[in-house]
Amino acid sequence: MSSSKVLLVDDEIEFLETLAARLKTRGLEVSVAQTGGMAVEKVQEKSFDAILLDLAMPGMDGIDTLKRLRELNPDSQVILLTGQATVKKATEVMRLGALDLLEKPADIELVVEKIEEAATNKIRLTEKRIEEKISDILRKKGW
Amino acid sequence: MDDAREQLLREKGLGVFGAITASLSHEINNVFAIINELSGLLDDFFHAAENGTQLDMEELRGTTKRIATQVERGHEYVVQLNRFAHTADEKQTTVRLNETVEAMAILCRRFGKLRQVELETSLPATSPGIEAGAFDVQHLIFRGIDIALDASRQGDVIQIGVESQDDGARLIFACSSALESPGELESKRDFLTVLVAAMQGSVEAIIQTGQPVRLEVTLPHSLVPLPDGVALE
Repeated sequence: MSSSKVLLVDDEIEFLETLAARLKTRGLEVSVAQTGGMAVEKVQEKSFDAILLDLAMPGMDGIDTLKRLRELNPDSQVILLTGQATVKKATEVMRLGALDLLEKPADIELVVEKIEEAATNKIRLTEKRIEEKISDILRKKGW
Repeated sequence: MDDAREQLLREKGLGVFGAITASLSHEINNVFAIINELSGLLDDFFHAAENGTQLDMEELRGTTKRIATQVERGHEYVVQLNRFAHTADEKQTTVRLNETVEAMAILCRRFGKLRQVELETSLPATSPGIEAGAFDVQHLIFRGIDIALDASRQGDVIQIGVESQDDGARLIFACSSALESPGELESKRDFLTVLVAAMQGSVEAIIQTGQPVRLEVTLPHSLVPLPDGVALE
């Protein structure tokens, strides 16, 4: 998993920069965004294997950002971060298509494990899309 | 005061306690999350050093300083929370409005931040004092800020002002831009009126589409203005 691309989204700069530094030392390619709006811009410029997204942010919060990211790309692998993980929050974000909800402070090994899971999911979904496309072409050609 | 009104005030007061403590506990947890990452970063440096990488002393010192900054920040939140919690201790005391407004503006800052609205205070040189329950005054300030936040849009500024009057003091909550729609503001204003009436004060409110919302809360029984630096008993 040496070159998985991760986008970190959090309005707390100190948290964002420190986590980014730690993930980089673990071989990940890390981009950062301080707002939901900036995150949406970044995903339109570049593809990410995983997006770590804070739930409580000023302006466009985590839920609205998640909805927008999934609209732009239904295969987006988004992991939410929250100060207080409740069953209600977990249900809501999973219903909206998030991969998981982690509680802060989060163990770095768990974060990396989730990013690996996201990267694997993304590969699997990409392969599935390719297979579907090939089947579609073969069907149309009558082969 | 009738039982139903007293019950309402108690429930709403509990709501304020819940909102403020939830907000501050969220901020404190953010501090822990940052300290967790910074201490993890130190761990990463030492792990790298064990594998032969030279330690960068400047980077180490910088990281420990960043941890110290967060500890200071967290301590400040705990002090605010503790002060707020203790306002319920005294039923009737001399409440210095300048300090109380400043404290509530700080406690409510996160609510403003989430809506991208700034809270600013406009205070007289000498703090007017009133005889009241400390928590009751904080409760009414919270309700005034809550109404102003609901009336505000991203980028707005809410001015919270204090004015001395001959027989009391006035608190002003003023929004910077025109109201788009009253929504629940009128029912919130009605509750604020009940709360202020229980303190024998009065509320004048401008809540109209197309005009900036403005609340003026007049409270009676101010004391001779207290000199600055005199601590509350």
